Amino acid sequence: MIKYVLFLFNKESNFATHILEFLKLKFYFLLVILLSFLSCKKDTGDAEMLTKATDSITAHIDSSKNKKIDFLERKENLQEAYNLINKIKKDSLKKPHYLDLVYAYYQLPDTSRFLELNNQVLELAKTTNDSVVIAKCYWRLGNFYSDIQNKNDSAFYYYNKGQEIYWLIGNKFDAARLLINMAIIQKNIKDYTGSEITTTKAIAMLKPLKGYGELYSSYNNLGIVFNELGEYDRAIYYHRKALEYIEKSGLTNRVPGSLNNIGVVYVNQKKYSNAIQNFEQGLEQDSLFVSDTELYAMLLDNLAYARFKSKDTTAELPSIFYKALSIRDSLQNHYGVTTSKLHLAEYFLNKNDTIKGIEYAREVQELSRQSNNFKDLLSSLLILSTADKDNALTYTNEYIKINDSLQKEERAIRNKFARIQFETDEYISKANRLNQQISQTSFISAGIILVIILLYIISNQRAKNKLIKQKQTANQEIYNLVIDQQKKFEEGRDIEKQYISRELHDGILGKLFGIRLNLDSLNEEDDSQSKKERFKYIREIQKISDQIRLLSHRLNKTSLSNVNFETVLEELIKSQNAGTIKFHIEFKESINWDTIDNNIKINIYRVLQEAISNIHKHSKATEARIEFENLNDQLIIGITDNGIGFSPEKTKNGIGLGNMFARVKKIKGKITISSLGENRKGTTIKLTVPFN
Amino acid sequence: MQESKEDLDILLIDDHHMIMEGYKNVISKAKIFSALNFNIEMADNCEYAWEKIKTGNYSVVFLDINFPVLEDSKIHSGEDLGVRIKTEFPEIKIIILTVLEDHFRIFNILSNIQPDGFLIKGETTSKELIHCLEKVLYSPPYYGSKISNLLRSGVAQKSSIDEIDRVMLYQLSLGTKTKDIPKYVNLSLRAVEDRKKKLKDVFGVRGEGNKALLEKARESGYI
Repeated sequence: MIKYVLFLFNKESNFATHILEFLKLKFYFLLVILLSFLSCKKDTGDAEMLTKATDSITAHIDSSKNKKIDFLERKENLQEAYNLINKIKKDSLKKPHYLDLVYAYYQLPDTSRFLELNNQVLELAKTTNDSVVIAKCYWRLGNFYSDIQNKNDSAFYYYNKGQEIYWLIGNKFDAARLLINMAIIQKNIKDYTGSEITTTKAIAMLKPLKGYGELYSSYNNLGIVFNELGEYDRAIYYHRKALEYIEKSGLTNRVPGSLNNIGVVYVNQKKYSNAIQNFEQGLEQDSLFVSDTELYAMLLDNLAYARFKSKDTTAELPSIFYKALSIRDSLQNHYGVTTSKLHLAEYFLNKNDTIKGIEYAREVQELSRQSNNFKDLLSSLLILSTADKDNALTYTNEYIKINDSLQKEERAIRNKFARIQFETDEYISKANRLNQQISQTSFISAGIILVIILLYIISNQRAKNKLIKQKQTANQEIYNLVIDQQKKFEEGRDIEKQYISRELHDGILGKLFGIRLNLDSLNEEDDSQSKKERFKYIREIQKISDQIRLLSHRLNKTSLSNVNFETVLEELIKSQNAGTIKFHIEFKESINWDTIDNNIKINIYRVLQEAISNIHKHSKATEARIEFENLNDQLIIGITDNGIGFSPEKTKNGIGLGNMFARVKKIKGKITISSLGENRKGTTIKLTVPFN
Repeated sequence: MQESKEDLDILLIDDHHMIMEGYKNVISKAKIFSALNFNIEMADNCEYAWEKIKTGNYSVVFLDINFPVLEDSKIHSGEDLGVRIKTEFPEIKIIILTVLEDHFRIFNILSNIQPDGFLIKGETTSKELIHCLEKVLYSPPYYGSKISNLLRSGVAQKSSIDEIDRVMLYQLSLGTKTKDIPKYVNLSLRAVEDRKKKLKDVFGVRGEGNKALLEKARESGYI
């Protein structure tokens, strides 16, 4: 059997950037602290200490990675770093260091310490609800169980949990990376359909993000899956796609692995020359032996196997097999060793060297049993059952037993995976539904807000319109009042004109006629009596000229008819004087009515009307006085009568008073009513109205 | 020895005393009436004048038309008084002396009172007054030059304002257009326009519009 090349995403490139970000953040944080507490020496000291601590923590962690240093010393460095981190007071500042440290332990490797610390960080992150860190911890746990513990179900579980969190916080890229890891695990337990589905999911997420490296891994996995399923053409197709993505991503070191995988498919298709070509091409990569010795050995082994299968006699077999095996041996690459040995067993059996063949197969059986490598164990048992005819039954029984339990186990794991994934899908779809609900809710609330805004605008507009209308009505009313007044004036002027006309016609002309007639009759007389009389008529003429002057003056007066609001008010008050109450009006200062809003004017007018009507109806007064005063941009109107008075607090609800209050409020004025009560005298209403 | 003279009672009715004085002076100094013994009395309002007429024995009444309106007066104008005198004492000769020059009023007075003498104060001199009295006494009537000119002009024939004319004037004053008038009077538009033309003549106004006509009609108390 052939070993594939696959890459689990346990490389921490992304993690490094996270740390960088954290460091940056911390830098700013420190800067802020430095700036804001510059005056305070103690705090500045703290900050300095923190910087120092950070530096030495980083130094310790770095030296732990230096493989030239003794393992124990490296471990001590990490312990030192741990102690330093614990001295930092703030949890938020601790976290990035912890993450660093955890990874260092993983790399060291000190798995127990790694597990311990990782759980510690996880708990810390859980208390602070730090999803990013939680997901990271799950990822590492996944790596731990997959790479070190070889516990696929646990690894799958943690990858899945991490993936779930990434998906929820919208980090689709890392979610996809973990999905690929899960797909690889699914493939490893022969859940090929599951693996295919998971990979496809990851591809769908990665394509818009242009994660070429990750897409390569996805297609590579698909290629392996279809190879296992026996769909070799599709497998080749996917591997070629994977190669394309390698090119796009620039990860050229992945090329030999991919070529290896393609070769494996060709071997399965029995297209050995194609396989050989790919394996050779893979081996030709620059300095592959140094950069990836394991892969080199694998390619070498696979090449040898392909040549052996193609019945290539020219090749120096089995020396290539040996070369690969010895490399793998030196690398303590157990899987590689068993694979090599399986190939050798097959080779020797084929060459009819049964002893050597069985020997290799037995070695594989032994090794794979130790390392729980059931796949190779089964292969070795299969070989032995045909080669070692004496013990064939034993091998076959063992084979069946192991295969059964393996299948059972795999089935159980598959079920477990399905359950885990189903739960996640359920969870995600729930989250989706929730999201949908949220978006629906926000859509609806946005709609409602929009409607509210619209309603507000409409009502605002309506209020504005109402205000405009009110103003228009006020203008109209004032206009009408002034026009009415004008009409009255004109009527008065007409009467006056008629009077003057009659006076001129009847009075003056008549008198002149009389004088003329008299003088006429006296014309021929010359006695002293007549002279006296003539003189009398001359005096009459004098009187007539006086009368004419008077008329002319009157005529002049009637043409002066400037009607404004003041005349309107005067007319209102004057028109009240028909009854028993004497009304007076006085303007203490000149008021420029033209600059005052018509709304104010009309309301003043109506309040006055109301007040006057109250005086008429209730006061029993004999005199009432209305005074206008202009004080500091305020109009002060006093309405006083000498009537019987009333109790304002008792009558407040009267419609008349209510109207007055409402009108004054409308023009932002104030009104006070003071009355001396039922048995005492007089009522005073004081109205204060701001001009604008 | 003095020749026995014929007594002649005259009542002067005018609100201006000076005018009445003037009449009295002119009449009493007139030499042509030497055969007459004038007995001149005065009344400065219609009410009082009517009382005097009822009790007196006047041959001639000098009557003014315009009087200041008195509150409790039953006789509003010289015209009213003139009509009463004419109906109740037709033997009394009436001389109208007025400042009015309004054609319409003049026609009205002429048709209602049919005075024996009619003078416009503005054009009247002492000589004319004497001449008038003389004519009235011996060969009435006597009309002043303006009146006689007016009568000669022929306007008098058309001067009567009937019910239809009043309706027309009323509608016009309401702002009704001439072309809509036929709805209110039983006449064709053509006839309405003719009548309007005639009314304009009567009131002595010119021009196309209704304004001057209506003003005049209002002044004359038709609207």
